[in-house]
Amino acid sequence: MDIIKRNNVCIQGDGDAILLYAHGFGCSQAMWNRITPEFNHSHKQILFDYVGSGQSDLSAFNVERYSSLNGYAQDVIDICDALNLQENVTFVGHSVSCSIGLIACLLRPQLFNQFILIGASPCFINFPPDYMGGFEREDLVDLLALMDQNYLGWANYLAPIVAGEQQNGAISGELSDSFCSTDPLVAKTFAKATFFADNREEFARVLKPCLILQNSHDSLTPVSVGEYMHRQLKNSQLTIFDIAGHCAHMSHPALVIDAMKKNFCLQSNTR
Amino acid sequence: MPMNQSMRCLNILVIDESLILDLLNKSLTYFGHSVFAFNEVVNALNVFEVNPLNFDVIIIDQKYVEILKSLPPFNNDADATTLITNHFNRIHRTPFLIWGENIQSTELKFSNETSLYLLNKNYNALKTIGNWLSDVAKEYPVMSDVNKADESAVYQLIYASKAVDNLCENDLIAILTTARKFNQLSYITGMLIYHHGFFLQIIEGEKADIINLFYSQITNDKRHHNISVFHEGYALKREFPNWQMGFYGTAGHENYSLLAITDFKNHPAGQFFRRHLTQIQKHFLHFELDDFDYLPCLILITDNNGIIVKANTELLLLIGKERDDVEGKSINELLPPASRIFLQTHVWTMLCHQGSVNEIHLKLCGQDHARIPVILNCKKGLFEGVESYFWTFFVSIERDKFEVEILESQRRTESILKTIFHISPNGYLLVDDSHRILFANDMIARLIEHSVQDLYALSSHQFWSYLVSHSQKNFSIPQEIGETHYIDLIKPRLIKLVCSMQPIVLSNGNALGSLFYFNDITKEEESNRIKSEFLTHASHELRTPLALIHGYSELLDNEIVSVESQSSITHMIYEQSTWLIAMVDELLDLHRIETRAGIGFEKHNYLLTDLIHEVLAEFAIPKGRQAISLSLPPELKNIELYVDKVKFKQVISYIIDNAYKYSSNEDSVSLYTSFNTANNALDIEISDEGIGVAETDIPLIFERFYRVDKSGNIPGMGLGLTIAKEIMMFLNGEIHFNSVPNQGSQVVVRFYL
Repeated sequence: MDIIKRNNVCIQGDGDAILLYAHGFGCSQAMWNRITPEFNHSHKQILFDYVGSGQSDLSAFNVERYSSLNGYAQDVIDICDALNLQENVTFVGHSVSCSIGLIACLLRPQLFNQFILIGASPCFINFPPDYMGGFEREDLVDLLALMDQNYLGWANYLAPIVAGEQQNGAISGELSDSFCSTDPLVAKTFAKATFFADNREEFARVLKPCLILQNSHDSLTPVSVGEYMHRQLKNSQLTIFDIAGHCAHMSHPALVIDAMKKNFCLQSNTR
Repeated sequence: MPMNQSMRCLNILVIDESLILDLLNKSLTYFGHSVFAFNEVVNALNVFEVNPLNFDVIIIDQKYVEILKSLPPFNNDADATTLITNHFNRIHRTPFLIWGENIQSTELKFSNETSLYLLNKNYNALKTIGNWLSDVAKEYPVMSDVNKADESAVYQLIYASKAVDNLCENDLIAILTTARKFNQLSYITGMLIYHHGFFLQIIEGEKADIINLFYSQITNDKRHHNISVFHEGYALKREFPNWQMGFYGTAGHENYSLLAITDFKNHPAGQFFRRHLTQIQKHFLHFELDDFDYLPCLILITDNNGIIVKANTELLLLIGKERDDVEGKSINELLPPASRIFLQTHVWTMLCHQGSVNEIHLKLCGQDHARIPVILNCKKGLFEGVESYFWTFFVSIERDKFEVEILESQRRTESILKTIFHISPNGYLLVDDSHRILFANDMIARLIEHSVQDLYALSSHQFWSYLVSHSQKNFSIPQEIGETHYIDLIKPRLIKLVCSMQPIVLSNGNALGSLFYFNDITKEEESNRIKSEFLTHASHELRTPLALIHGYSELLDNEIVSVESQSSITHMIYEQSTWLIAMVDELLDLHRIETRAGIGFEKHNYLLTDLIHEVLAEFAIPKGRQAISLSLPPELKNIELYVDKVKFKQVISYIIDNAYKYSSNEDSVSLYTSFNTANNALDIEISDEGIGVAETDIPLIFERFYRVDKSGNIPGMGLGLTIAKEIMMFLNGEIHFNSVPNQGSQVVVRFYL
């Protein structure tokens, strides 16, 4: 199987250092387009879509494999193997991809040299009193229902407009890439794998350097989760941005770029 | 004079040209295209769905449709009409009618299903509406001419039938202060107080004690004061037929406004107000129309971080919060957890990526932990010079219910179909034009020894080449309806399939793909073969003795036989006819057992040892054969079986008979008994060392008329084991067959104790 095609792998930039960007649930590699231009001269940058997301090959989707984050971690490893990468990969992950990257690291430790974790959470579910991931199980069941409804809505509402008005670029363009995954089965499988996962123990076993970028007002991952991860990941740094939202790399790319650059400097100095 | 409280106004929403243009202007200004105007109307209508207290009928100027069609994103597309029509039919359960060129025409251009249903059900309602409409039509030009201040009239109307529960004293005081001011103006003949579009009370002017009247009405019967819909002056005119009125403007405190009314015809003030309306609004009455507050949907403006800069009153009312509790806070605080996640994972990423989202289902936190389903449209824009997001929510309770229903029925249909396909003995494979497998059922997966999941990873090419490589000879794939092809699979087992094809075409004429249908005819073929074998056999078996009987009786008849031979011939005829009777009995026996399903069996407890010995004693060992070697352990001797003795003996003797028939003279036949404590069953095993049965034939051994001996040299009709199996079903037992060719066969007769 052609992994490059399957995962829509795109490579840009020159440099010896390798950055591998992994998008979060509900989006695609397009979410990195405000970060990557900044590193084109210094890094070889690898972008991809998980199977089922973005422009990946939908026919490679397999519910069983992608029902657990291990399946997505296998995507990451497959891509590195296909590109013949053996080591020194810097993994930049958003949200659930942080967990995926760390799982991949446990499966293939020699592959990675460090991790940049944006909006990471090892577990979204509350386990009082020890751990508060932010959500109750029922909330996540509600989420799945909401997704169903939106996918149904898109199919019904958008279809006639898209079909009837292809010459209208403004609208059809917007709709065509409005959602990275409009296949309900794929999206729900990813959602379940993401929100019902508990990777707290896995996090504790990772010893590679990790930079945790945490937003002060992130409704998906509260600061307490960032602090928890900082404690769990033995070799980690925690940077808190005083901003709201869950996608700092999209809403405040400059902050993320700055933090990444500082980190790369630090890493090269210590080396 | 307060309104006649017993009278209920007919509630009509008129969406006329001015409203439409207004909505479109707003929509084009804020959002860039008219879909939002469409949505606004749609959702304004949504608010009133189902509840009959709200609107009796909605009238939409047909021009609305025309205008919409001429604007992006429709651009004259003929589908626009269909889309709008479908939307109304699908979503709106309030009856609604699109009326002619304008409201004066009585020609019905369009109506939705609900309205037709209601009208059919209630002819009187139709008549009332008809009368009312003709009244409206007469007055309409007058009123629209008079009332230029009514930019918001329809909005008011839209809001008008909602109940108002919360009136706080401060609000009242503010209103009453304004009312007092108004009351000092000599030309005011009456006032209308309304709360964000809800008409609370009519205050008659001049001599009436406005304040007391109003106050007592409100405080005495807060929940039940008569809130009715007024469109411009229509309803008022019905109440006060002698008045010629105009509305001049509104004033008041935040949520509460006051409309001053004057006697238009007879009072010079009326003329005055008409002339100076604009100034009055601007300078005297301090009337400012806040677009956001008047929009019939929930509006939020946030900064780039989702911090709320502005919320409209409609939103505050719906979620039951004060302005200060909302503005300055994050939008997240208005959403329950699931919607918060969806906002972060889908909506924000889209907004960052493309600047707008359309038609997103979310829920808002309402009062008392209620979750209010809403539809969100959001677009990036400038608010007071700052880059912001405009969030528009439309309450979609009915639509939400409707869609949940659709989802439910979709799931229901899916699980029904899934079950049907799952248990179907036939295979179904749906393939699209690009050779992707869209659907396959379990049977197909079993055919090629894959899981259904793995099957989806194959292309249809791979599927077909797998079948070809596992079949006896090449076959072609059906391309047309009516084309059928036979496929003889040799692996995983011998299967004969008939394959045909049916294209699946969607209602819009597009092809979804080709459905291949695989019918497993292995059994059918086999039973046909067995039947024809039986016919050959039976006719042979029956014909042989008949021919003998016929021949001998002919001899007797011709009297050419010696007296000595006569008795031996008679004996021969007797023997042959006995054999015939036995054969016919066997056939009848099988038929009887099957049709009577065990009724008539006389079951009693018998000692195993007695039963076995009785069978063996009665069984005539064929000439030259060894006796049965019997193994009956002493501990089993006292076991009792609850059986019909005759049937029991029939089963055992059939099997022993077969054992002798299908083995040669030197082979031995043995009978073992054993008890299995695990399943509390007694096994009687009868084995021989005879010719045995080929592995492929073992599954057929209990089929009726199946004969191991194809040569016809061994007598029998192939019914013995079939009958034995049938009997065992009714004796709480079962029968198993095992065999190795040329080594022998074992039959286990198992009784569950």
